[in-house]
Amino acid sequence: MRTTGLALILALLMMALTGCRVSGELENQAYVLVLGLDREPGGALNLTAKVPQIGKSGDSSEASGGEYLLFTGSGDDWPQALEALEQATPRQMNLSHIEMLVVSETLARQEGFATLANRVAETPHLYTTARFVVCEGRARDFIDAQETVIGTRLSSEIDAMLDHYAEHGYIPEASFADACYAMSSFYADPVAIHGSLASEDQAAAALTRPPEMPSGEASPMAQRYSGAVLFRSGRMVGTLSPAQTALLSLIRGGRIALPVECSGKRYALTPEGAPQRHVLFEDDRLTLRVDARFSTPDDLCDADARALEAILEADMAGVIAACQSLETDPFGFAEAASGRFSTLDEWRAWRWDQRYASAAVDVRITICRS
Amino acid sequence: MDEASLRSELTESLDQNVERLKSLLRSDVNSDAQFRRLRALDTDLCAVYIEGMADDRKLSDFVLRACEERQDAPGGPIDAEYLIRNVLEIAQCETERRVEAILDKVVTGMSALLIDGCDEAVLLETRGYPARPVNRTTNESVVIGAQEGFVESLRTNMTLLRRYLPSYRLITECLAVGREAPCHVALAYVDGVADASIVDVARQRLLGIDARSVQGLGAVQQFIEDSPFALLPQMLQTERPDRAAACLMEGQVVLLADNSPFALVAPVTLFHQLHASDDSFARWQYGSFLRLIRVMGMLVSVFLPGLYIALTDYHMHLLPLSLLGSIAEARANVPFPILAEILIMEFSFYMINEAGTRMPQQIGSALGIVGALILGQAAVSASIISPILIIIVAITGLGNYAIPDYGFGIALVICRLFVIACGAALGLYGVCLSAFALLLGLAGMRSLGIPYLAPVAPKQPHNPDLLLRLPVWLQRRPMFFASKRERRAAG
Amino acid sequence: MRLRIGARPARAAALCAIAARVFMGLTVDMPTTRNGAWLSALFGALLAGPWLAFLRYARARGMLLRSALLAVTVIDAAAVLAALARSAGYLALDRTSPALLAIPAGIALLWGVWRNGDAVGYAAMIWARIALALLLIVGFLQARSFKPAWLTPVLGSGWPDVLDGGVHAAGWIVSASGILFVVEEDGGAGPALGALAGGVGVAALLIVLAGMLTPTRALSGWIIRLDDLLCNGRAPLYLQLPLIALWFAALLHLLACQCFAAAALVQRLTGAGGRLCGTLIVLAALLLSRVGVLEMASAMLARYGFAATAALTALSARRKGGLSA
Repeated sequence: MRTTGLALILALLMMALTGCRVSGELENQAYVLVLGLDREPGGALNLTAKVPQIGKSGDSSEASGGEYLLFTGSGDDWPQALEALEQATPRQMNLSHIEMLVVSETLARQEGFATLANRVAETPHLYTTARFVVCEGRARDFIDAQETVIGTRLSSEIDAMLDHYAEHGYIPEASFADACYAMSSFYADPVAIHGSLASEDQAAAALTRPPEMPSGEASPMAQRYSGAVLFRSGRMVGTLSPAQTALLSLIRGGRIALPVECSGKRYALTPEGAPQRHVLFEDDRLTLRVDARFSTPDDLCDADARALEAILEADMAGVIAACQSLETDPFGFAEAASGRFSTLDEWRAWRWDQRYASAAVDVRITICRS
Repeated sequence: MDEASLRSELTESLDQNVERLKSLLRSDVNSDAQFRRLRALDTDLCAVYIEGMADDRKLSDFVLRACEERQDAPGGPIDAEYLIRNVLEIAQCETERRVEAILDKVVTGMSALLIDGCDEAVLLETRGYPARPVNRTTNESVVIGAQEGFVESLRTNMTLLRRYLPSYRLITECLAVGREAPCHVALAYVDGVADASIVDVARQRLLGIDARSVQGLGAVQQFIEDSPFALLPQMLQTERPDRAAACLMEGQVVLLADNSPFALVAPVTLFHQLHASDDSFARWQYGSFLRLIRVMGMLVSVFLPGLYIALTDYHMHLLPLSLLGSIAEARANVPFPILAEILIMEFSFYMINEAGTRMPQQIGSALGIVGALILGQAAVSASIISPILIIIVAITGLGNYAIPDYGFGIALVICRLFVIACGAALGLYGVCLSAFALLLGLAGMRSLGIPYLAPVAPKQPHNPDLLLRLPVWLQRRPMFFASKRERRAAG
Repeated sequence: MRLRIGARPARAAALCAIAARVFMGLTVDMPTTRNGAWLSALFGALLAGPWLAFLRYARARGMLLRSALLAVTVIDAAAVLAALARSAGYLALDRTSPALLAIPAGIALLWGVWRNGDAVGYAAMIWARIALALLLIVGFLQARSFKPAWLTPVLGSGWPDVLDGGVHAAGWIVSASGILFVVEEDGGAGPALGALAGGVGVAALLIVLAGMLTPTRALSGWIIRLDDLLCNGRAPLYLQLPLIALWFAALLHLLACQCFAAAALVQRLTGAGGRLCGTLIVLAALLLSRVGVLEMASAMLARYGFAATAALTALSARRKGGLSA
């Protein structure tokens, strides 16, 4: 008994003190914060990972703000590219904390992107809470330009910045999980955040970098997040401008304050509850209807209210029509329509995608004074 | 020792009886065994007592002087009954003829009065050994409420209990436990409130103790517990007579013993271990809040270090990135794996704790400062331990100190080590497995036959006084293990 | 040691076991029913209800029924044990062999059986309360992620799949409720039906809640479905902690219930000691969990096990005069 106890204690001490365990301690891992996916001209898949340095001279890390490393790996497909990235990274790569997944527009437009996205989502320990961004140009350059502007941690920076943009409607709420679900589900089409690189003097850059802040010396180009990327059948088919994105977010249920100009005056409109999306079936005719109520604290005469309603109705109908023309439904009308069917087979046999494209649009806006 | 003499009875010869007792008490070497001869009522008498254990004043004022002053001798030979009825001025007297019984009483401080020509001795209640006066409790302090605590004297403790529970239904059965050096144990219960079967079980277990000697209630507890191999105690130790009295009114039995400044309460459940006297003194909102804090303390104490190691070693994704960064940064220069770090800190904590308890009070407080400040600070500066781990161990220790019962607290420390080992080996899977095993262990435990997780599992009718303590006017019924009659009466 | 359990703890243990098995079966093991999974759960309860009501008549007799129930319970326990080991591997221990991962669970189960039936039942009673608290926390924190629209079309893949799911659910109910068969006191059909209704009700509710967190998708692998369940990507990652605790603890309680029921059945059949029976059952479950074809066998058992045990129950009850009573 005593011998067994002694042996157990020795084994425990051996395990604990002499490094007999797998060296997977958390400070020895490379936490990927941003992962970029590019398709190279030759067809290879290129991965770029941004990793914070931990413990470098005690103060430069993700914890205290500071330096980040960029690693790349290429391969014919996702597993090969991931393996190459593993080889390029000098520590055990940890994909569990990815904050943002950036895909180049070229790759997002390619056939088979949905399959690739699903492979990515199914990677062990790659959790899909990351934001989903499609960028113009190369994802690697886009990631390389990513720096902290306000604050010290890149992870917090990404979160705070994208939350801020989404609250104002410049970009849609788009997680990689939602995009993957939408790609493989029987309902809506996914959306992604649209990103691009712009020069410092461009007005859009002011959104990400206030003029009084010193510009980053390492990157003459600044990132710009504005607008939404639309997908159909798992492939990118187009984009929406920031203004259109705000309306898209509104229809999807976001509480976004809209500044609208009418008769030379600017009104701040706040949605009263989430807009109602209806799909009306009349004989063989399909109507997509949106009922939304807004309020404004500003003085508003009846005439201006009607005018504002007309402007908003036209704008929203325009956004829906734009998406219809691309045969993509990022609004979630399909979710509202599928409730009329009892089985998935019936729903799929009804060919929603085709009927949606030719459906009539009826937007009804009511504006009142709060 | 002469077994035959011990088992024998007194004879009518005083000299023979005295000699026998002297030989059994080894008065030739035992300097405190006293044999005081006197002549009164035309008869030779001898008072046998242990110096220091018996009160000299009581003996001389109410026994010796009473005998000497009494001149009107009866016509015939006097016997023990005559002395008790007519001469002795001590309230508690009894006759005894068995030598062993006489010796048992004498060593506890009673005096035996041997009478020439009588084969019975009078046992006199002259106990008066020095004892600590009733004082404040040391381990079960309360902010508001009674401050008195049990002391080492069984008699005083029984008196205290009676004072807090002035009911003619309070029964205190005295039993002697142990063959050679018996320990006097009082089994207290409220007749009609405590379930007779539970009292029987307690009594039978006490009588069934087969040991040469039993050193106080701590040993008694180990002899009569339902599951001696279980980690958690199945009886409650309390230093407070008010708490013991409250338990009696709930239908529990209370054990008191000589030389044990606390009482044992049984049957108890897990929930009793988390109750403190403050709960019932304070208003129900405060009492409930304090109990929730204690429950949190218990959970933190058992699971926090295990969860920490599971999360940091296996499930980094469950930590927010900012926290993960802080931990990784703090650990960057630490040479040990997290398990070793935790074990070093935990055992250092236990050592400081144990040393602080054993050391004289004045040095003990200084040791706390040395341990907490200097050692911790030095360990962090030397990069042996990461600062976050010091926080984890400190919170864990605080959680443990929130547990009112000392034994229960130690059991939780052992459970914690088990959870740490499982968490280190298998991550959250291990933590869940350890929690499952602990829960099964708890579910299988009983206290005097009552399930340890009752009245939740199995569900029994009970007062709203478990994890939360609702107002006293809602607490109308005794505990579910009280007698059926009492429960019926309470509706 | 005689393996015994009271009616009340058995009911609590069966409720937890049925809820866990039906939920696990219809969300992770058999996703073909899709949106109609909660209907399958209810249909399974309708099928298994009469069986449970008549089970008590067959309690004293029916060697064949006992053997059949034992086989169903042990094989399903092995399948659940394999699932538990896979879950542990998926979460963090993917470098460790699932066979090794099953051993600690086996030790815990052995401890559970040795503590006897009341301990298993009382532990389930406590677990039910903890699970409720964890579910409330998860539900509250995920409140913004629920999308009721994802529950449509209500029938999912259609009636045939829903009914097929119901038959499977009935099989899982049989394998999870063996503990009701080994209760020695006869408390009538009420407690068994109460456990069934409670267990299936909880399972159906959880299936609905899980359905509102992830949309109906094309079929995917077991691990991906588990990943969807534990981390749907629509809520902060740290929320996985209570979900993981719920998943592991629910499976462990289910296994404890199954292993105890199987050990008690072995004891009733052979008269051997309780510890020996418990050890044999846990070892059998550990060994069977490493058999590769077990998942298929378990699915087949779920489909046909119910029919077989129901027929044997009817036969045993009739011989005892229960049906005429």
